[in-house]
Parts: sequence; C-alpha cells; structure tokens
Amino acid sequence: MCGQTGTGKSSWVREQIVALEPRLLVFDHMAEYLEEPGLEKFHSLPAAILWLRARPTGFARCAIVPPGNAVELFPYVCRVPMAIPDLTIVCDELDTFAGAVRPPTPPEFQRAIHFGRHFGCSFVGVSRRPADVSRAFTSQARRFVCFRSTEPADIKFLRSVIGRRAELVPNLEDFHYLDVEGGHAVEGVVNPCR
Amino acid sequence: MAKRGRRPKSEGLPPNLRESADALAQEVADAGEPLEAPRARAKTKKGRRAQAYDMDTGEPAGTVAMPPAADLPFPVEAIALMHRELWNALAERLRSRYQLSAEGAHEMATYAEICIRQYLGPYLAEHAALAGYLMTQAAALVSLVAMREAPKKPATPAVPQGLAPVDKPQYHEPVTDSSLRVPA
Repeated sequence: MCGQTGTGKSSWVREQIVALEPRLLVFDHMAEYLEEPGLEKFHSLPAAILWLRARPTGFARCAIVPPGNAVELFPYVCRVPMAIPDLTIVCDELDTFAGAVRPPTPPEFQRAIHFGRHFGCSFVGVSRRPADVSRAFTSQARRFVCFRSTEPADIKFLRSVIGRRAELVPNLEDFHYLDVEGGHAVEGVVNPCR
Repeated sequence: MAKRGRRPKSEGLPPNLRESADALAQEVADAGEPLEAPRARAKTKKGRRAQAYDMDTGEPAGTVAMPPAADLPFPVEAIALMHRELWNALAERLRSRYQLSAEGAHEMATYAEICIRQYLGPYLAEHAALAGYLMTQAAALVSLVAMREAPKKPATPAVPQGLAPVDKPQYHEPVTDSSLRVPA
C-alpha cells in the first residue's frame, strides 16, 4: 500500500483490512487506532502476545500502541507470527522500520516475510515512499494498492513491479486507488469518511 | 560449495522457526525500559479517555475520571446482570438469525462485547437507552463478520425451543425488569 499523504491509505486499511480480518495485529506506533472499535488495545507487547496465545483460533484482533521506541519493538512484533498462527499484521510507515537502504531490514522481518506463510501470516505494509521500502518485502508482495504518487523514483519503482499501469498512478484523485494483484488491475474508491 | 571463511546462508537461520509465545513475551518483558519510554498524549477527548485505562488489564488507571461505585447513579450489580442478559440474548439471536453453531455464536458475541466495551467503556447511561444502544451496536458490528461466516446455502432457520421465529430483529427493546430500574 503506497501513496502520498492524505490520499486515503489509512482509510483503505481500515475499510479493507481492519474491519474484515478475523485475526489481526496492528502495529499502531502512530496511535491512529485508539478509537477504532473491535480492537483490543495494548501498550505492552508481552500482554498482547499472551492475549493472542489464549486465542489460537477464531477471532483475535488487537493493536499494539508502543509506549516508546517503536523501532526497537518492531523486530519483536515480526517474531509474533512464529508463535501465534494465522495472523495478519498491519504496519504503517513500513519504510521507517525496514528500508530499502536505511534503516537496514531486521533479520526478524526477513524471516517473517520468507517463512510467514508457513504459519499462515500475512503482512500489510503501508508507506508513502514505496521505493524506500525493503526489497525483501516488495519482492514477496503479491498485491499492490497504489494511491496517488508523483515522485519520479516511486513511479519508476512501481513501473518495475506493476508495469505500464504505473503511469496511471500520478493522475489518481484523492481516495482513488489502483489495486494490482496477480497481474490484474482494478481501480477503486475508498470511503473518505473512515 | 561455500568458500572458506564464508558461512552458507542456511547457518544464519535457526533450525526450528517456531517460537514459544510465553518465551517471546518474557523476552520482550525482560528487554524492559528501552521499549517502555513515556508516550505522547492522545489528541482527542475520546482518545485520552481510552488512554486513561490500563489497556492490559482493562482496569481504570489512576488518572481516569471514573467515579467510585458508590457514587454511580445506578447499581453496579444491575449493570453486570443486564450486561450478562444482553450477552446471552445476543448470542441466542446470532445463533438463530445467522444459523451459527453455538460455539460460533458464543465467539461472535464475545467479539461484540469487545466492540461494545470500546464504544462505551464504563460510562454507562440509563438502562433503556443502554439496552437499545448495546443491541444496535452489537448487531451492526457483528453482522459484517457474520455475513462472512454464514453458510453459503440458505438453510431453514432453526427456531429455538420456546421462542417465536424472528423475522426482523428488534434492537430497541425496552428493559422491563423492575429489578434493573434506578432506585429513586
């Protein structure tokens, strides 16, 4: 998920992921989901892990709101799928935790990306600059949801992953997106009220 | 063949990828202070109210504006009883309306309870409005997930013993039990 600020990325995540996924862990380092219904909020990752452990199947939806250093906590969050099966993890501003160059991609994140599918793990990464996101993540991504982006480096990167459809991205209106999955592209509109 | 002095890639990965949830939680807890620095205050009134609660235990934190039980305008025991009755009624309604198993309805009602607590917290109002509001919110919040869980083929609605078929849910049923009324 990529696009400029205010184009609707968070609204899409709320509408398509947070509202629908039955087993969910949101790494809410920006405290954007404090008022989101249906999510158990935790300030303590150990408490969240134990809460999830008590729910190995069925509904288990929570958000970690880190009290302090989110960058240091991120590798531990990446290890949660190895302990708790069938989770969807959502992380905003992913490029600040696992960048293409800096910051270096944590080995725990690489492990989660490469082996998470064996544990039923899905990872939803949101970033304003897709070109700055770790290649370990973008190389394994099966779906790209693109909101408007005009940065030439980002368009060039998108062209390398979704082909000529990247030419449509700079002209997208607010809350309009291009959803590319498995070679198929669909244009959509997210509800701006969320 | 790996060159001398260079480790093959597989040596960098643990032989068993699966982790223990308890061990991971303990390791994070032992990491301690660097992960627990003070955080920013929420910007909205609702967010600050949410921050005022210990989100790990669900208990009010020291700075919350929740009055003591003795100062509440309604009996706490009645609220607990009504909540339990509403939860049971919601589970039964989910089971009958969406043809869920008892376990599925139980699970979904628990999910609805979590959603309800996020909306209302401990700031409970008068009972009739609360009952209507709880049922409305619970039905709205669980219906989305229930539609995903409902069986693909239409099934004959199962009418619970002793209850009339429910064609249209009534979400604003007034609380008529006199034991739940606010004492004068």
